[in-house]
Formats: sequence, C-alpha cells, structure tokens
Amino acid sequence: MLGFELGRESGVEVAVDPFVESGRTETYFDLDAVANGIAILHVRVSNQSTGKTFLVEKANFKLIPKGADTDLSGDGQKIERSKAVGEVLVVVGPGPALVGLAMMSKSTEIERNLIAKELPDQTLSPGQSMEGFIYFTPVEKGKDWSRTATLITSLTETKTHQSTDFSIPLSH
Amino acid sequence: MKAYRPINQILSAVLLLALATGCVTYVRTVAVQQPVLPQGQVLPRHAVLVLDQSLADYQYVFKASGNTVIYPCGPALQNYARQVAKKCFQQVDEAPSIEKAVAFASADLILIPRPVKCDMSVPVWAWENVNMTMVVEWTAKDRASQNTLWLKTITATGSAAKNMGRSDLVMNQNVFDDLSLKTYNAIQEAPELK
Repeated sequence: MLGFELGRESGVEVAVDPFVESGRTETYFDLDAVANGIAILHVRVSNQSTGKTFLVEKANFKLIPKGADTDLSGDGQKIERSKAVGEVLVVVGPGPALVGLAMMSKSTEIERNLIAKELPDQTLSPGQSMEGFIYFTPVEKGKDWSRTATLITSLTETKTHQSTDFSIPLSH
Repeated sequence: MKAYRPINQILSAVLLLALATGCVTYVRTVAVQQPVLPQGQVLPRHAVLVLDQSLADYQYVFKASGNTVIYPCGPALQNYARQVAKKCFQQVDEAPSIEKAVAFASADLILIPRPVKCDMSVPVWAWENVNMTMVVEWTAKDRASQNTLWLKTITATGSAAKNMGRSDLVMNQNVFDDLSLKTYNAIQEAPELK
C-alpha cells in the first residue's frame, strides 16, 4: 500500500513516503531493499511559513521502532541512518563466479545511484520545498518495517536557532 | 539456492583474486577547464572564501579487482570554488580557515565549500558509460555572528563512454561543468544571500 504520512508545524510540512514494496525499490534503485533490510523513505519538506528559513539536515532524521524511547536525546533503540550507503555493497556482494565482475559493477552503480538520490542538507527559504531519499539500516528483512516505526526530525530556524520538532508515525 | 551462495561467493572471490594480478595503485590527474558560466547578478557583498586543507587534499579513491585508482580532486575543487564565488560576489577574498576568515573585518559573508562524497560506477561492457557523482556542500555564514545563513548541497553528475580514449578526462570535465553551473545557479537563486 502506498501512502504519504504528513507532519505540519510552524508553517513547515514534512511528507514521508516509506518504500516498503520490493517492486518500488527495484524500480528506483535496482535493489530489493526490503529483502535486504534497508529502510528507504522519500521525504519532502515544504516551507510555507512567512519569513522563516529552516535548516534541514539528514543527521536530524531518526527512525524509531514502535515502543522505543522517542526522546530526541535518546539513542538506544534507534535505527541508524546509513551514513555512507556502503552497506549496500555488502548486501549486493559479488555473486556467482562468472558474473562476479558484473555484480561488482552493478553494486557500484547502485551505490552511486543511492548517493545521487539522497536528501540533501540545505536551508529552506519561505516558499521553497525540497525532496530526496533517506536510508536506514538495519531493519527486519522482508518485513514491512514502516508499520511499527515513527520518523522523528527537528528543523532549526536559522535566525532564532529555535527548533521545530516533528514526530510522524509511519503506520498506515 | 541458499546453500550455493557461500560456494558462489568463494568462487567469485577466487576469480577476482585471480584476475587481480597484484595490487596496483594508479593516480589519475583531475585536469579540468573551468566552464564559462552564464552572466547573472553580481551580489553586492564582500565574501571570504574558505579554502582549507581538507578541500585541498580531497581525493576520491576507487577500488576494484584489487586495483586502486586515486583521483586527487583538491586543486580542481579549489579552482571551481574560486571561479563560482568570484562570478557571484562583488568582492571575494580567500582564507585557509574559518578563524582566519572571521578576521576580515570588512567582509560580511563567509563561504565554506566542503566535499561530502564522490562515487563512481564502472560498467563491465565497453559500450556502456562510466558515471561519477560528486556531492559538495556550501555553507554561507554571517561573518559577524557566524550564524548559518544558507546551506546547500550540490549533487553533480558526469559520464563518459567507457570505450573512448581517456574517458576519465571527459567524465571529470562533465562532473565539474555540472558542479559549477549548479552551484552558480544555487547562489544566484538564494534569497538569503541577496
């Protein structure tokens, strides 16, 4: 089932689309992320405020499994955001002997593609929007990880340094 | 099926080792011409461009089949940052660190380019393209308060046919052309920098 989950605070909207269908991850990334325990989320952030610029950083996006401590300062049970997407190389790995080089070539292309489509860090002016993918590992392989997870994030207003927090349950 | 996987992986590793006749490291010079940028607005600000050691030393390391290819991107990145900044701002000075940039009392902006990552995919077949993606983050800080005014991540891509001679040269040029144009447009379009 496809669906966006929304969070709205202080004139900012965060829309999250968890990629929990193998077919979709294969279409976009040539990789069965679900079977390999990689959580992929498409995130769109829109600044509809008047006069506020927000700092959007991937490091501030966290995936929290159900029942875990949702305190932003807590760190125990969070699923780590993939920092270098390098895990994919391990996941795809070299396959059968005769196609080993082809597999290696494919895995480097998958990794490059993941990097190219990643959500960028940036400031978001009033009226602007941005989008991209965020990756988390590990999640339970072959399962719909989104049913039991919440995405939390915090955007900082550049002038006042005030944070706007979002907690977006992904269950649908 | 699963039982075959470890065997396949071992065979694959053996094949790759066999193909790799010793570990060789190549250094490929990143020689690029700075592209001609469109004629846009020159922003009436005095900026200090931070060209620090991490930018100067930045290199992309590509490993495959036991071989290592090093692309020292630092000098090209410095030239790209200079060209874009000088094209966008009325006055641009350079500093080797943020601390030194803050000392420019007449400047109002500090510009910090930072290479985030670089990745390349090399196809197996000669008729396919070699692709490179480079990600550079630009931060603009208010010199006096050092508040972040603007942050933008630029993702540039470039490719070249694998079967053409020195495909590296073409690919690198395409990456830096894309990087320069995207950075220039991003600065031109940023309301925070006007």
